Amino acid sequence: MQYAKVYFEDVQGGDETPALVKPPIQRIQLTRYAGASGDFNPIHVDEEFARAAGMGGVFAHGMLSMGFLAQSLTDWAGAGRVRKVGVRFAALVRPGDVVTCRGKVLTKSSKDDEHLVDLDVWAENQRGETIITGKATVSLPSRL
Amino acid sequence: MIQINKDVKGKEYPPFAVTVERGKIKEFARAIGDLNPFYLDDRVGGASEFGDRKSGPMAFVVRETSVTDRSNEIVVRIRHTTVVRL
Repeated sequence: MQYAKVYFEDVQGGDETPALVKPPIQRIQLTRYAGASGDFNPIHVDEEFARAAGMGGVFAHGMLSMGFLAQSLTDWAGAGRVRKVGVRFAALVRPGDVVTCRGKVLTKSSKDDEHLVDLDVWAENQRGETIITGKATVSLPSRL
Repeated sequence: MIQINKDVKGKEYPPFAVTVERGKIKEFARAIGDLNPFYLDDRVGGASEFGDRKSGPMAFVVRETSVTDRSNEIVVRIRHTTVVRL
């Protein structure tokens, strides 16, 4: 169930977060993301520019995919619970690509009133190629 | 191919402030396709423990960002990002 509340005690190492399958990337989405983020690099929206730059056409902002990954975390743990996300961009995302975000719990730790869960996070395209890998930390509420 | 200008190595830019506005939070959430009412519905966000001025996790809560190249060498480091909530 989307936006269900997850408690610290219910999470175990090895648990996987629900996969988030995003709709195919649309060119208009890249334009919207450019406006929303303030990143107007033409390589993401101007086909001619991107080809001339040797990139074979436009590709998505890396931070758009990182936003997808963050969404997969907030869909699971709740908005406001993400403490840290660090990623490495492994492959380009093109218009039409379907990005699927995944996560797996590594470790849990508690300090004072804060209950933290560290995860491996990654995303892949429709061909199963990894486009992003990284680590994340979320803070979960306790039942106690 | 893209030319990388190595002359800017080590260059530091002055800090700047970003004002977090409600409309911008919604625009950002919609661009990503994250339709969580927490960002899009003022009533839901306002009723939460965070109040109504919380943005999506990747929107503005950037304290430090490092960008590395394929050999893991740091290309850019962004820090001291100021978040202003009105």
